[in-house]
Order: sequence, then C-alpha cells, then structure tokens
Amino acid sequence: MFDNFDLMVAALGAGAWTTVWVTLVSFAIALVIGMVLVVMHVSPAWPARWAANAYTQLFRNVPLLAVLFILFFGLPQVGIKADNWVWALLGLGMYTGAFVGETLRSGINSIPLGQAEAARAIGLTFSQSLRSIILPQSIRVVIPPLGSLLIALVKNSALVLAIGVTELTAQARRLIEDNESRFDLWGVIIGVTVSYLLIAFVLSYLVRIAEKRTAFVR
Amino acid sequence: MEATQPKTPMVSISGVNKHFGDLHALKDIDLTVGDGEVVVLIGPSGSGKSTLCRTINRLETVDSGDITVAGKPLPAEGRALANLRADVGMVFQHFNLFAHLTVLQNITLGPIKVRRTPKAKAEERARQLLERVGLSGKADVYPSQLSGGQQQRVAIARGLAMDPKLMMFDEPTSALDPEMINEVLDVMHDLAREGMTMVVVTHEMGFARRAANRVVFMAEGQIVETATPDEFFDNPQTERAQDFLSKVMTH
Repeated sequence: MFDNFDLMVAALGAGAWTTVWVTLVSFAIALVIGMVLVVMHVSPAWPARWAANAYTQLFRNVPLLAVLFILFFGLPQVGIKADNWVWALLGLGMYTGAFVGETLRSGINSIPLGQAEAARAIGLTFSQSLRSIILPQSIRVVIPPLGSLLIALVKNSALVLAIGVTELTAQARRLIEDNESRFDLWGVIIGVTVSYLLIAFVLSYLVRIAEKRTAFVR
Repeated sequence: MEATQPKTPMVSISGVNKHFGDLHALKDIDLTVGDGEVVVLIGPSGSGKSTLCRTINRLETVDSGDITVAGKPLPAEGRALANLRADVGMVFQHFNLFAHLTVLQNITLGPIKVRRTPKAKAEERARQLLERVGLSGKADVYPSQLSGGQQQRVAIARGLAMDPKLMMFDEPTSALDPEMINEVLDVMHDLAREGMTMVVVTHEMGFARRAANRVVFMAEGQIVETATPDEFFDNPQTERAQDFLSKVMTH
C-alpha cells in the first residue's frame, strides 16, 4: 500500500486527536458565550441587548483567521501572554459563540409568546421563565442547527495551524512536506479526508442522539 | 347601582389610558372590582376589554393612570411584580399550557418555583385541583394529548394552584369547539359561586347573565355602560349597548 503507512496513521491520528479536543473544548466555550449572549439579547435592559449585538456583529463579520491573528499576535504586544493552543481555543470559541448566540435566539423566538406570558402570569421572574419554560423548549429546536455549527467548527479548527497548533491538517502538511519524502501524497490526502469524515460522522451521530433525547410529545 | 359596591376593592383602576401606536386602546378607564365580585367585560372585538384585563397583572403596561391590586399599586418590574402576578390567576384564550411539561408539572411549577411549596404537597394539591376540574386521570399526559376544553380546564387548575386572590379569564372559550365550551363555563360558574373574585372577558352572554355580579360593556376603548346582568340585558341604557345586544342575541 502507501509508503510508511504505520507512521502516517500515527501522525494523522495524533493530529485528529488534537482536532477533536480543540473542537470540543472550543465548542463548549462557544456554548457558554452563546448562552450569555442570548440572555443578554432577550434581556429587558437595553445596554445588555446593545452589548450582545455589538459582540455578534464583530465576530460574525471578521474572518476567523483575523480573529486568531489578533489574539495570537496582538494580545502579546499589549502584555497578555499565553500558549498558542489557548489562543486557538479562545479564538474558535469566541467566533463560534456569536453564531451559537444567534442560533439560540432563533430557537427562543420560535417559542410562542403565550408560553412566556403564561410563565410570567404565574409569577415566575424573567430568569425563572427562561430557565424553566423557554430554554427547555428551545433546546430541541436548536439542536440540529447547533449540530451544523459543531461540524463547521471541526473544519474551521484547521485554521489554528496558522498560529502553530498541530491539528489534523497541519499534520497532513508536515507529512506532505517531509524532508525525506517518505509519504505518498495521495495516501496523505485520503488519510486526512477519511479522518475528517469519521470525526464528522461520529459527532453527527451524537447530535442525533441528543435530538432524540430532548424530544417531547407535541 | 346598588349594594354590590365593594368596601375594599380587590382591583382598582383609575384614569387609565393606553395607546398602541395611533390607536387609543383604553380611554380614561375607571373600574373597581370588589372582593368576591364577578365582573364580566363584554363588547365588540377591538373594544379594549382584553387589553384592560391584561393591564391588571401588567402583561400590558399603561401610559397613564393608576392600578392597584388588593390595595397595592402595581410594581413596575422585577420580583415585586412577579409576586403580584403570583396572586392573580390568569386563563388565556389559547390556554398557553407549558408544552414540554405534563399536566401535573404544569400545575405544580408555580407552587414549587414561586411559593416554595414542597413537591409532594404541591402534587397532592394539583391532583385535588385536577379532580375538581374533572380531569383526575390526566395528570401524566402532555398538553398536546388533550382536547381544547381539557387544556383550558388544566389552565384553570394551574391558576388556582397559586391560591390567587383574583382570577382573570381572557376569552377563555373563544378558541374552543362549541361542544367543549360548557365544560369550561361550568368550572368557572362553580368558582364564581364559591366566592372567587373574577374578571372575565367573554362573548358568552349566557355565562355573563348567570354568573356575573356586574357587567361592564366596552366599546372603542371606553367603558360605555356598567350594570347588573339583568339591567344590562333587559334594559340597556346606551344606544351602543342596545346595538351590540341586538346583534349578538338574535340567534
């Protein structure tokens, strides 16, 4: 088969593992940011709504690569230092968080107004009605689009190679550019493609399970 | 107007105005609802009766005027407003049961979250209320599995579970199939007889006649006529009310 197959699999496997954990951790960050954003979006206080909108516009309209460069090159200039994988996680998380916030917002908007009115009418506070009534019903609606964001994040995570994090695509490049040309080009291309597909399939499957778990009779 | 005038009003509305854009939806409304009194608001569509009802627990804000419930002015926002709403039961035209919760959870949510009632006690009370509205077998089903009339009776039980000082009904039978209207009206009629203070917006003239202490007739954002049911239906004083009654009572 391909030249140095075992070595290639080991290298791509290590890269794939980095891609997986970078994706999952930055998605967790994005979920937290998205939840904070959506609470601010629906808040009765206008400064909160304004700030959430400003954040969303900023991160939706700046390329992810630019966000990563700003963090990685810009922040150390002003004395904020961290390892490159920290900037990778933060950059991916903050960028995706803006999209998660919009997705959650559309989920909340899909819940009929009467649900919130009934919640208020029995004396729930704003945050109680969000927690007990609105968010639980929104979750089911937003799981499929959140799944799409997760898959997009798997692919976006390749950009962190630009700030020196050796994830799957970076490993592939290293194999292709190997000094001793030990690896077959098409072997690497097929290997990296199959790895991304496998990661996406597994994550899609988990999303489907989450979708089923949150279903309720309507 | 005779003896029904209350000593301590449960609801007092004075000089209330409300606009929706250019529409003057409520015009200088004055109304008091006495403790234990059943006030039925009737009038043509767009007359402001639902809006008026919704101002009482501040689901609608007002532009000017004062509203007090049990002697206390309506708080503007926050926990104080939530506490007031907890004391005012509300039944909506479209039921608005929480779609992701079972019937029992719908009823116990308020007592558990707002009143801090222990879960077991809240559930016991919820089952009593379900029996009272004739739905003892339905505790564990979801709202979508019930008919409209059944959903509305659950909504009434949900309101009652908070031990409200006042129950408000905003066109509770308008979204129901005709054969389900009476099962809801019967529950409401029983409540009225037991002395619950009620504000009811409805097109059910039969209910108004049998259950109301007072009928308030509204048109174009104004209270046009206030009278006992017998006075109002047998001898309406204003042309507007006579016209309305002639249209709704012909069949």
